[in-house]
Amino acid sequence: MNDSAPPGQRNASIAVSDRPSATRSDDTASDRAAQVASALGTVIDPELDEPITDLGFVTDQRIDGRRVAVRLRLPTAFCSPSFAYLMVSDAQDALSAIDWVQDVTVTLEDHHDADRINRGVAAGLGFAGTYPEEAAGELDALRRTFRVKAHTAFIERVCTIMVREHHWTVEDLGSLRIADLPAGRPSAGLRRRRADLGLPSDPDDLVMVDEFGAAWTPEAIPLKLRFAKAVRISIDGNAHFCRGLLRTRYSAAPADQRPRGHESLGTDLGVPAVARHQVIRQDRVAAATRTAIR
Amino acid sequence: MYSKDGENYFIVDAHLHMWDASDENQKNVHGAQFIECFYDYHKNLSPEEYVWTLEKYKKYSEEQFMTDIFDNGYADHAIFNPAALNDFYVNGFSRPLAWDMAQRNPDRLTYNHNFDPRNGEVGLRQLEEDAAKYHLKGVKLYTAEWHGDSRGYKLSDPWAYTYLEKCQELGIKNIHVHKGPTIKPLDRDAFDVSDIDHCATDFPDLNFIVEHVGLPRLEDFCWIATQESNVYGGLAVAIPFIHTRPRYWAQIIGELLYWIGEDRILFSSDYALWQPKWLIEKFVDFQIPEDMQGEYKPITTDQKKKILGLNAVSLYPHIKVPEGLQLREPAMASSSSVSSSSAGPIGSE
Repeated sequence: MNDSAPPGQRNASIAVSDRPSATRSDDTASDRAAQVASALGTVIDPELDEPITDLGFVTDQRIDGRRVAVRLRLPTAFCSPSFAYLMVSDAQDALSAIDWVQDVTVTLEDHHDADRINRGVAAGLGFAGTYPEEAAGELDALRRTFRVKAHTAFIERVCTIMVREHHWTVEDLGSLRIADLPAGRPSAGLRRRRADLGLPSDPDDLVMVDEFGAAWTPEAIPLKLRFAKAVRISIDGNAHFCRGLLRTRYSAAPADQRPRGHESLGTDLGVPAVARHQVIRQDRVAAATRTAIR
Repeated sequence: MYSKDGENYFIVDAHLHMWDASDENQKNVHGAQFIECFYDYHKNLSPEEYVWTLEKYKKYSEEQFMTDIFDNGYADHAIFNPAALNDFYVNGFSRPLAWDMAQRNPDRLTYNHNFDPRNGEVGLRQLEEDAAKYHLKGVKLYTAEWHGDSRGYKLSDPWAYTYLEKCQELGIKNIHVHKGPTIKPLDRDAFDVSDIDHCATDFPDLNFIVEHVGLPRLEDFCWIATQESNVYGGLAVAIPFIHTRPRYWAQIIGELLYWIGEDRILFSSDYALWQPKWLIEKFVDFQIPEDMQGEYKPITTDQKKKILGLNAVSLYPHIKVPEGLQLREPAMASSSSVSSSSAGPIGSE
C-alpha cells in the first residue's frame, strides 16, 4: 500500500475528470477528494475521541466516478471488534452521505476479524446481524458510554483554558456559558461533543453539565472536575499508546498521523485538590454518589 | 534488591510470564497475531537496547528468564501469573515449566494459576485440585477470554461468585484480574472494570489486583479502587511510559497516588513484554517534573519502596523481607499524600 502521502492527498482517481458528465460540473477531482477526506474526518475513534484521519487509520481513498473506496487499518490485529465495527460503519455512512457518491466500499485490513466486519458493513447487517451468535444487540449504549467520557474530558480541557488564559477561577466555572468560550477549537469542540449526546448548545447554556444537560451543582464541581481530569488523562494515554503501536506496526505511519489536536488545548488545570477521603464510601452512601458522578 | 544513592529497595515483580508462542505451538493465525501484537507493545515502549528479535521473543529459555529477572533485574521475588489461551496455542500460552521453576526456587518464585468460572462444577473441582497441587495464594483471571458460546464473563456473574467463594474457602486470597482486550466482539466494553466493584464489596477478605491499573479505563479503575480498600493496581503496561512519555507517566502515577494512595500500587514488568531492569532503574530515578508539582506532589523514596516491593509483600506475606529493607518507620496512612483542603464534600452522611 502507498503509505507515503497523507490521507486526502493520494489516489484521487484520474478517472474522475474523464467522466465529468457523471457529476455536478463544479465538482473537480480535487474538490471531490477533499469532500471524501472531509467526510472521513467526521469519523471518530470512540475510545480516543479523535478523527480516524488524524490517527493515521486511513491508508487509501480512491474515487472512480461516483464510486468511493477507502481502506482502513488499526494499531493491532486485536483492537476491539466493537470499536472497529463502529469506525468502519461510520465511514460507510459518512461517505454515503456525500451527494454525488453512489457506491461506497470501506475495507478494514490487517485485523483478526476484518473479513466479517467488512462483509457485515457492506451488507448493512448492523452489528447484531454481523455477529448473530456473539452480539446481544447493537452498539448504541457502548457508543454513548464513550461519548459521555469524551464530553466529560472536554469540559476539563476547556475549563483549563478558561482558567489559564482567560482569568476564570475554578469557583466561577459553574457559571461558565457556551458564549464565554473563545471561538475556534474549544467552542466548536465542546459543541460537537454536546451534539453527540443530543444536547443543544445555545449561547446561554452552561458548560458544566452532565450527559443529560443537568448543571453540576456548585458543591459537586471540584470533585467532578477532578474526575474529569482522570478521564482526560485516561483517554490521552490510550491515544498515545494506540498511536505508538500504529507507528510500530507500520513504519510509514508517522507520515499519516497528525498531532493530537487535544494537546494544543493544554492540560493541568489548577483545580484545588479534593480530599480523597471525601469520596471514600461510608457504608453504602457512596453508591448514590457514584451514580451521580457518572 | 536494588541500591541507589544510599537507599536499598526490596523488589517484587508481581506479574510475569514464561510463555511459548513459538511457531510450533501456534494453533492458528490468531496465535501468530497475538504474539505479534505483544511484540509491538514490547518494541513500541522499550528502550532500543532492550528490544529482542521476534524469534527470541516468541520463546525464551529459563536461563534467560532467571538472568533478566534476578541477575540483571534486581528482583528479590517474582510472581507468575499464567494465561491459558488454549484457543490459540497447542499447549497453551504459558509454559508448565513455570511451575517447575517455582518448585526449584521457592524463595524467589511464586506460581499463581488460573480458573474459568464457565467450567462450572468440573472447574470447581479442578480449582480444589490446583489449589492443593500448586499451594495457591493467587489466581489470574482473564475475563474477556472466549469460551464456547460465551463472549467473556463478569466477575459479578453467579458462577464467578461461586468460584470466589471457593477461593475464600481455599485461602486463595489474591485475585489478579486482567480486563480485555477481547478477541471476540462484545456489545459492551471489554475493559469495563465495574464488575470488580461488586465483588470487592461482597468479598472483603479477598484482594483484587487489577492488572494494567485498568488502562485504558484508568479513571474507572481509580474511582472503584477509591471506594474499595481491597482493590489494588498492577503497573504493567502503565510503567513503560516512563521511558517514551515521562510526563504522561507522571500524570498516571500522580492520579494513582491521588485516588488510591501509595499502599495499593504494585510494580510489575509483565516480562517478557518489558525487561524489569530499566523499569526499576528509571522508576527509582523518576520524579514528578517540577512544573507539574503544583498538581502532583513529589514522589517520596518510601512510596517508591512500597510500590517496588513492600506492597506486594503485604499481599503475599510468605515473601520474607530481610532486616533493613523494611521502611524505617511504620508506614503512614496513604491519605497523607492527599491535600485535605477542599471545597465541597460529596457523599457526606
